[in-house]
Order: sequence, then C-alpha cells, then structure tokens
Amino acid sequence: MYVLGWRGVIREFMRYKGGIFGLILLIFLVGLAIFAPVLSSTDVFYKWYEPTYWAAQNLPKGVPPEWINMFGDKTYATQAVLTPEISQPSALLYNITFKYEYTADIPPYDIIIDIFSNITEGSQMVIFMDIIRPDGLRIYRVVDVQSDQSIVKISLRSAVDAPKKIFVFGLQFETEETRREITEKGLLSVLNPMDVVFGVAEEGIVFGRSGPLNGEYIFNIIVYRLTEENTLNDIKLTIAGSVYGIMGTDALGRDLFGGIVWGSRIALIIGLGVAIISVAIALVYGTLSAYVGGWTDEALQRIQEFVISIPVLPLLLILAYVFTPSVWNLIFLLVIFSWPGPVKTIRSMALQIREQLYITSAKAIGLSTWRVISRYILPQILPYTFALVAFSVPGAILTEAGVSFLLGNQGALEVTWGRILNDAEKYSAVLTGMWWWVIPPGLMISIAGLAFVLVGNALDRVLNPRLLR
Amino acid sequence: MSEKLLSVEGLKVYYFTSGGTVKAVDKVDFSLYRGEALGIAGESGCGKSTLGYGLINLVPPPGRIVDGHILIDNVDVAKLNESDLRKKVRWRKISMVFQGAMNALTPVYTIGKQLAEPLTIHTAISYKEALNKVQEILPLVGLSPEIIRRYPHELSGGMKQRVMIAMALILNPDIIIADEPTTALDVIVQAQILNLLKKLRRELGVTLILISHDLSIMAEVVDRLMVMYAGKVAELGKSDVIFSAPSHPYTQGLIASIPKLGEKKLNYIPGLPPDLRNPPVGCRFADRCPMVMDICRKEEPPFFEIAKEHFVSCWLYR
Repeated sequence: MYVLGWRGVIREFMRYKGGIFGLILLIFLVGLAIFAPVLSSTDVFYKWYEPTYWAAQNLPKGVPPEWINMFGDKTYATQAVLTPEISQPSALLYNITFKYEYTADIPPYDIIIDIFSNITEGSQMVIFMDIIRPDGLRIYRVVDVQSDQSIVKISLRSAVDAPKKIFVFGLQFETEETRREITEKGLLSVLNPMDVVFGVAEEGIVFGRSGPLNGEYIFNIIVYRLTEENTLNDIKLTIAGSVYGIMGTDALGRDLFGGIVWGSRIALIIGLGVAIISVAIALVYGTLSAYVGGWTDEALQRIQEFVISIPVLPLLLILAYVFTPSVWNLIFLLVIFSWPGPVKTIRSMALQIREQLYITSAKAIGLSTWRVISRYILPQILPYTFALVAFSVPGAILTEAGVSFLLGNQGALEVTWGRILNDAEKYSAVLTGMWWWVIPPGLMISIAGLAFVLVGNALDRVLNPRLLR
Repeated sequence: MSEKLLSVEGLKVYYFTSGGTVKAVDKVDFSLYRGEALGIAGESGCGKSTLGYGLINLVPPPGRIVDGHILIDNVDVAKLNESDLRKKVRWRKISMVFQGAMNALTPVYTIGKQLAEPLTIHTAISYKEALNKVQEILPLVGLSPEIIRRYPHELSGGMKQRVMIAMALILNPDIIIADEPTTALDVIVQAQILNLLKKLRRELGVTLILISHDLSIMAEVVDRLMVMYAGKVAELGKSDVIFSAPSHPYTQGLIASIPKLGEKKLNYIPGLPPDLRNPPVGCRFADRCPMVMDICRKEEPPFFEIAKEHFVSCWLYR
C-alpha cells in the first residue's frame, strides 16, 4: 500500500468489477442507514415493538406493497385519508360527510374512523354512520355507538357489530339457500365485510364474487353530544389500502419499509462495529503473539484456538437471552466470539515481518519492544486489516441475523432484519403467502453480506502483498 | 598500540536448535584498538556474522551468548540486561551496517524518518533537529540531503547501503561493525562503498570491524585480519603480514584460492567444514589440512604468538 499510495489503491481497486459492484451496494446500504430518519420516521425505529403506536397509524395488516398494482390485471385500493365536510344542523348535532372515489378492483382493507373530542367526565357522545353506495343503496347504522372517551377509534372490520350489519345488508342479495348455508356453517367469520361494502349488489356479494362497484361512496356520520361543552375537535376517516407503501405491512400493521431502512443502520453498526473491534483486538493479539514468541506465543495460540472452537450460535442464544439483546450487548457478545478469526492470519504476517532485517536493525538501534511492534510491524499489517475488516463484517451481520431470527427482540427495542424475519416466522408469513414480509429482509441480509465480501475480495487483491503483481 | 576499545575474552555463542546445540562461536578472544580496522574473514557458516551480532548482544533466537566477556569501558556487554543494552550499548557504543542493506530499511517510512530514529530515541533532540543532523551527515556518505523525503524502494542498492552507513555513523559510536557491506552489490558499487569506508576512516577516524568472506575487500580496507574457521579463530595478525605470508594452513588455502588473472585453474580447499553441533576433538581444520599431524586430531591447538601481535592456532608453530 505504501508503494501504491492512496490514489494507487483506489486505481487498483477500480480494476476489479466485483469490487466496484460491492462498493455500489455498500454505498446504497450506507445511504439507507444515513437517510433512515428521512426515508422513514424515527418513531418507526423506537416504537417498532409498541402495538399502540402502530394501532394509531391506521395501517392495513399484512398487505402487499403498492407497486404490485403495476403487475397483474386487478388493481388494489391504496391507502387514503379523507377530508371531512362538517355541518352543524342543530346545537348538539354534528353532521359529517366523507366522500371516497372507489376505482380499484380489490376493496380496501378497512375503514377506520378517528374521533377526537374534549368530552367531559360522566358525559357521552353518540356516533352513527351510514354508508351511501354509488348505486344509491344505503347501509344503515353501520356504526352505532355511545362513548365517553375523548379519543375514539372505530374500525369497521374489527368492531363488534359493524361487520354484522354489513353482512345483513349483503345477505339480502343472496338466495335463501346460500343464506342458510352461511348461517349453518358459520362462514361469516371468514368472510370479508369490505367485499360487501364495495361489491356490486347481486348474488355472490358476500363472497366478493359479484365484482367491484366503482364510483363515489359517501360516509355520513352523525355525532350527537349531550352538552354543549363536549366539542368535537377533529374527525378523520382512513381508508386502509389493500396495498401499502414500498414494502407492504406485516400482520401487526407495521410498515415494513421502515423496518428494512432502520434495519440497515443496525446491520451496519453491528457488522462494522464487531468487525473493527475484533480485528483491532486480533491485530494486537496476533502481533504480540508472533513477536514475543516462545511460550507466550504457545499460550496465546492455544487460548485463541479454544475460543474459536466454541460453538458460537447456541451460546450466543443463551447469552443474548440472559442479557437483553440490545445493539450494544450484541456487539459485545459477538466481539467475544469473533476476535479469534483473524488472529492466525495476522500472526503469520507478523511472523514474516519479525524475521526481516529491518526489525533486527531497529532492535540494534536500541528501540524498545513496544516501539518495534507499533512502528515497524503494525504499520505493515495495517493495510491488510482493511480487507480483514471487510471479510469479518458479513459473519457478524449473519450471526446477528441468526440470533435475532431465532430469539426475536426479547425486550430489545431496535428493529433488525433478523427480528423482522422472526416475526414473519411467528405469524407463518411463508405459509400465508406474505412474501413481502420474508423476501426483503432476507435479501437485505444477503446484499449486506455480498457487498462486504466483494469489497473485501477486491481489497484483498490490492493490499495483500502476496497477490500483488 | 593505541587505546584498547573492546576486548573479547572466551566468547561462546551457541544456537540451541531442536537438532542439537550449534557452537557457532566457540572461545573467541581478540581486542580492538581505537582507530583501527579489524577484518573478520572466513567462509560461510564459520560464525563471523554471529560474532558480529554477539558484540551487540543481539544474537537472534534460538541463539545466545553462553559464556565469555565483551568488555567496553570495563562494562561487560555480555552480562547487561536488555534495557541497559538498549540505552547504553547499542548504536551509542557499537553500531552495525547489516548484511543485505536491501532489507535493512523498513518500507513504510521515509529515509529521513528512519535515519532520525536513533537520534530521537538516544538523544534529547527534537525530530526536526534530528532531521537537520541527518541532512548534515548525508553528504558525508555521498548522498544528497534531499533523499530524506524518499522511501527505500525509490533508492538503488548502493544508495541504500550508503544510507545504512550513514545510520551507523549518526550517533558517532566508538565502533562500527560492517557485516558484509558489499555483498549483493555489483563490482562498481562495491568499489564505491569500499572507498567510502576508507574515506570515513581517514576523515573521521572510525574504528571499524569489517566482516566479509571476500579477502580482496579485506586487503583493501583492514589493518588487522582475523581469520575464523568453524567458530574459532585460526589466525590473527597484521593484514599485510597475513596476506604476504599466511601462517595457518587454512589461511594459506584461502589466500591461494583467490582467483588470479591468467591462471586457468582455480585453487580450492577440499572437503567441508565440520558439523558445528558435534565438532571434532582437536583442531577443527584437521580433516581438511594438508599438513595434518597426529596431535591435531587429539588436542586443540592453543594460540602461538609467532611474531609480535601475530597469533596462529596451529600445532605447526609449537
């Protein structure tokens, strides 16, 4: 490297196509990690494991990414927040209408109403909602609740009585026979009320077979308050899409794109942190072992061989389970097991350098042992440790992913790719065909590994003196 | 004779290998006087380089000084601990020009930085002052002061050797050991380096120990010559005397084997040096000696002073 200089190293590096490709992948990953707060919100990172945060986001659960609309002949309804038109026909009454233009083939995932009021204690509000369909048919009193809470969230899909009322509307278009069959087999729990709301009013509507009814839907909400002090502060109607975002959502309604983006930051911190610390330890350890030699060398090498022969994953799982597997704990635990990796390589290099005449010369000049090591041996090995760091990163990232996949978060707050996969496994994403929950994190882990291997290979060729032409 | 700088008494340096103990230097005695140039000659493996390393107590492991004294200013270098050796002896009292200057400079630092190193660690001067001193000393060895910014790979072999000589001079030590300073250099550069060594002796009065297998170089530079064979001193005396009239049969063989112009046949000494792990009883040269006698195989020859300051270890001079 000293012969090449920094510019020479870069020029040499650019000769390897694999290295350039790896560098592009690396820049992409680093970009994701740096711009994570811009691409996603910091809440996604800190509140990934807080169900209340995600409930407030009104995201659909387990839906594919939006871009699948570009493929296939059916379009999915996308996420939309509707603006209200509020009127007050009388002092105690609010009349609110939302208009929604439905153009897709696959109905939205859910319709969610959020009401914010400053309701006083002991008082109540009564909330009704009718849906007026483009064909003029009206689904009466889909929502019919009384509430004494200042924040009310009603999901048409998961509310207690809303789906029933929707199915009552739908079943009138079915034959007597079908109605009986449905009640006998208790099929309603597996049917989707959204098919009824957004379906053509004819036979098969409850099964979603009657086809989509496109046009303008009007959601008419009436909020009746008992006293004038109970004002309505805000009301929001969210159409949860049947597709969402760049990477879809998981079964808990979390935005997977956010998880992937923040996961890149954690993966890089863990990968680079573990690699740099372990290589630094190995550098000092290997050099000292080689330089001092004799029994010290023997002892240090046996210790290194002992540590490297410990089966890492089972032990890591137990340790990570006992301690909270937070990022810093994981880095610490991974370093404990990965520092022996580069020791042999560094020791063999130091052994070669130790025998060089300039080392004897340095000793003859009167340099102390530490000065000989730090000024005459380490600077020679240092360039090659860049390649060693690059080679150590994929192992750290993969081990972290493995531990996280097998263990889950266990109280840790950060989202990592491995933990996304752990959740996917828990909710049987593979069996239910939620590929968008499994493939992106898996792919990201591979990309991160690949990037560092490619860069490492190129660096190795440039910096390893034995391969240098 | 002038002041005695160094005296070596009964020095033994052994290598403790798994195959046995190699007695590379075995009971060597000699003295060195201020201002003189002493040559140590002998064939490969006779222990001359080991002796050189022994003088600064830096024999590479598994070798070490087993016995004997190396006295400089009444201090026994052989008995000093590592830290005293570092601070008091190495480079301050004795510096060394290593065999194979090509590899004696680390590739990672500039020449200036490496030359300044002995100054910064042995004296209290700053790196900047040290660099100034380095620039002063470089013209002395025939190098331009600009060279301090260069890296070793940018220099030729001859330049590197000059740098090594400058480094040996930099602390103004009492003794400089030059271990095969011209090996691996071409003939013209060899001549330049030899002239440089002679000039330094003339101008600075450097006390030099020149280690070489090349007798023609010795004839050029040294005042006294010590011929070693199989870890022992065979002959020690004034170099012109030894060259004109060698006394030990080994020295005679060596000098006869210097190729001369016009001679078709090359002379050589038949046989091989003995295995130093298991040296023969008696004279170590006995097996190859054309004048071998019975006693040579039974008893080790002591030193016989055949003329003033001329010692020969051979039974012929009993």
